[in-house]
Amino acid sequence: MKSLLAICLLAASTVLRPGLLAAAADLDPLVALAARYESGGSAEPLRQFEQLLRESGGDPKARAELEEALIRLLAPDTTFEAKRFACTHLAVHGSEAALPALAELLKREETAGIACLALGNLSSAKAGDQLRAALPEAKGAVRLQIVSALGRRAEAASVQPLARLARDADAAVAAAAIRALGSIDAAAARDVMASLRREARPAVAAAVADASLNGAEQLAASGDRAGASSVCEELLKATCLTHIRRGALGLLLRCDTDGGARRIGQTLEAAPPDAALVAVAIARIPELRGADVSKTFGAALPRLPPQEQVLLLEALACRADADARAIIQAQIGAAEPGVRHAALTAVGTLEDASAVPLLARALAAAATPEEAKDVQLAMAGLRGGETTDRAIGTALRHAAAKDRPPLMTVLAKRGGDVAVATLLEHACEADECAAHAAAHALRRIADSGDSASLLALQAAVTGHDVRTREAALHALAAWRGVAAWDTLAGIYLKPENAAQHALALRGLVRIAGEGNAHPDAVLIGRYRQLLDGARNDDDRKLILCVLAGAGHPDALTLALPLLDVPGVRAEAVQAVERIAEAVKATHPDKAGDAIRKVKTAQAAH
Amino acid sequence: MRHGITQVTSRRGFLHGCLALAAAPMVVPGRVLGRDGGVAPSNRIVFGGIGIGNRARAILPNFLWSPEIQWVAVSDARADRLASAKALVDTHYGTPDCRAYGDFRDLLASKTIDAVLIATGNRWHAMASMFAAHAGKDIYCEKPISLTLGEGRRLVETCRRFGTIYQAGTQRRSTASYRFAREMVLQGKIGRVHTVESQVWATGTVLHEKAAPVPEGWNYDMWLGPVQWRPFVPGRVQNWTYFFDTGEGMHTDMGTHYTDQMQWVLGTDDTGPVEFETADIVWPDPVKCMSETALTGTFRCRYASGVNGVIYQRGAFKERYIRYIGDEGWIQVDDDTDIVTAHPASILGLRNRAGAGWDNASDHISNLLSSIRSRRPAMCHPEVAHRAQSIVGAMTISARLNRKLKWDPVKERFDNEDANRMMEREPRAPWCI
Repeated sequence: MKSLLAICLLAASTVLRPGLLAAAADLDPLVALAARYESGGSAEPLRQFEQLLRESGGDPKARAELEEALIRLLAPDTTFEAKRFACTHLAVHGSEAALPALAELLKREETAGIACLALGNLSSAKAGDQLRAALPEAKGAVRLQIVSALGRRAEAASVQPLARLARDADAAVAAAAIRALGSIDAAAARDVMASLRREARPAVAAAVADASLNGAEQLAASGDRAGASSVCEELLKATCLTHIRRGALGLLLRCDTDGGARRIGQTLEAAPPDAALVAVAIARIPELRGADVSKTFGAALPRLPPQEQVLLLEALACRADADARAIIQAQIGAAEPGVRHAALTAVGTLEDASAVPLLARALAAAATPEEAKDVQLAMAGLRGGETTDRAIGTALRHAAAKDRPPLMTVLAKRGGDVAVATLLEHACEADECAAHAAAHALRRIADSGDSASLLALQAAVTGHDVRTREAALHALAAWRGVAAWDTLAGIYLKPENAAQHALALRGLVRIAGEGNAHPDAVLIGRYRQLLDGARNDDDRKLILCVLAGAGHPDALTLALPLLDVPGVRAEAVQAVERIAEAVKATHPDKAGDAIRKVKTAQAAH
Repeated sequence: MRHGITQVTSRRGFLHGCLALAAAPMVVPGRVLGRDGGVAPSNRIVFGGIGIGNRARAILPNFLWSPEIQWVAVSDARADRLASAKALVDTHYGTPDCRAYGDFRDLLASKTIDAVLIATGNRWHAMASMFAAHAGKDIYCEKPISLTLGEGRRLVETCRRFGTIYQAGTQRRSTASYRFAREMVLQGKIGRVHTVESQVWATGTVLHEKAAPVPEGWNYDMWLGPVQWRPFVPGRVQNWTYFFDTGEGMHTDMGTHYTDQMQWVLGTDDTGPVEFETADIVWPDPVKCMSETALTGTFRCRYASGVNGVIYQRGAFKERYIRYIGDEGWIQVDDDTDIVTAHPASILGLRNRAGAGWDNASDHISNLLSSIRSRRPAMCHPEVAHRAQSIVGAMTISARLNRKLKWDPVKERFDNEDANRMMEREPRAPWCI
């Protein structure tokens, strides 16, 4: 008791409130309090118990004393919740000493569950003995509870009593016993299961199959592949449930010395195909080893229904060897749309520039917009970086007019230096359709916000060719986010011509307008920059229209002076009124002053 | 890819990766299956829902709007929720055909149902999943996938046995912001990662309350399910997250999203940390409160590689995040806003802003549907989900024992017997399989 007293003092001094020190020092009062615990009352005695248990870690004597205290909470006169609490902790801290008290709980339906909570975790074989001893007299839920606990303990000694219950007239009890037997890794349990399979009682067929599969896994884990396979062969029968058959095939494939190659072949060749098993077989193909695997299974492709062809192409794509890639590429022209889609998706994942001509032809032959999109997606995904971009550029130059816009879209999806340069080149073409498509593709890039493409456009906008500069500026003016601001602002302030100035301004006010949702000093600085660079009232009108949406007090400072500019007064009035309305709650003085100035300006003019 | 970050992927490589992710594994498109651009009814994957409470109602539209899914049944232990779930599905389809089951076992017995959404309370997640797997159904299960480590391992084994396709609802793996952060780490943009830090919110408490009659229309026995029986107490039932046998607390519930991300980024999906420790845990005042789980605290783990993981349970709901910290910078995803921040900030220029946020699970569901057809594992398959869940589960055990724990991720055993025994909890019959 001395060691426990020391722990109590330690626990009390570190965790418990000072007032509880005396109670913690002596377990009797603590047990007395905990024994009366019911929902609604203080949980302090329970938490105190837990603290003591935590602190007793390295002290066997203290642990024994605490276990004894927990056992006292199982006495007949304690509340159910006290017993439940005690069992929860005996599950972790209990020993054989708790068995007699737990045996009593096991007899009653209302406490059998919590007794099993503790018994299930006791490592002593005597806990299993106690559960087995209680089994013959147990009824209803208690019996199921004990069967469950025996299954989880998985002791060989439980085989016989569970085998008796496996033939119980109550199907629920029989099924529970059968599943419990299945969890016992013992030859005797598997022998019982073999008998049950032969008996073939429909009411417990699912449980027998479950448990048999479990037994087969145990055999496989122990190295008895032949034994496991033998059970699984039985479970593959068409009369078994689909998931049992899938599980059995999966285990068979894992057990087969060739990794399952032969069996997969047989499954694919079955006529008619066994829908429950084909997908499982195909799913294994990526893991098979061997030089000819892809070629072998690729040969099965024509015999399979379209959905299975799709799965096989996916599996071959996972293998990604030369044979697999050749088979996949050949299916780009398949008659079934789904198979074509699968092949295109795989090509897009696996291939590089070398696949561009093939995909360009597929694009030209695409019968529907959906199919063309599949090809585009595949091209957009091709590996190979700029080499592939150049190959697409070459294909673009040789493509028929109708195929050029989709190829440009592909370049837009890929982005980067080469794609941007190629699109700029086509944006300057004399062919209006091509130029329009290229400009559209550049706007897609602008919307993607791709940083590599932005760098390419920023370089192009200061290049030698006038038309290229103009096309690049159009794209930059549509650029998503603020990343293009500085470039556009530079052009706005020092344009080569009026058109450049106007275009840059358009882009800048769009960016500024997007910033109105979160107006801050940076945004106000941007508006100031715009107003400083404005060349005429048309510029100012445009800027004022957007500035009106900037709910920031400093926006008033920018707009108010323009009340005195006759050419933009109407826009300035509108802007000041809207900004003042937006900021009046936070800056009533500034808003009020601004509105007075508006009225003064209106009165004066 | 390991977190050693020696491989540098180009922007183009990243784009390629994204496209590959988007494209493969492939969802068989509608036109493959139907003739009019839709999915032929016979080829739709038929779903039922188990547990249709708040979370299910949030995610259900993502399922219902998938043309590849036909939703035919719902079940719930509460009659009010069952009725409203049926109404929701019926309204969507414009028919009165959605079947409503008071007992999920009847739903699972339906041979027409291929797959189920499990969105019960946490206490049921693993057990309902195992019931479903035994019934031959494929599964989308909300996180956390289990409440004990032993239960999680059994779930993995059960799904493997039947070849069950299972997707854990840790949908941030399918979220653009998180994928971007991962890619940046894998590309070495922040150097070698040494710490993964995350934050969930500080939780409230539940005051003591006496037992009350079970409300009309509740099947409380089924609601409790595998949890050993205890009286119906409204505050405890409504706030089940804050009790160890029904929820295990917020760092476990929400934290598993972040440990899942950490595992994904570190390339440790089939293993886990080797050490767990907690600090600064603040427990509820037992005089006033019946809730049991920590209010705030720091939960740490360490991998054999030396990488540290930490979950802070503190602050407000909106302040949750995950941050990868490397020796050359960091990158962070703010969960509430989906905003990514980084140092150096130039990393952010590489982001393609397309993609849905975490609150849209459509991509995650599409990944499941693709896997159901191909019978290949889904992105968050049971082993992945169990390993992520094991981390927060082990942190909980460390906190409850107030002890630093070493963990063998191969044998899945602690260096402490009390901790090992806390990995298991006997479920209540008949709510176990």
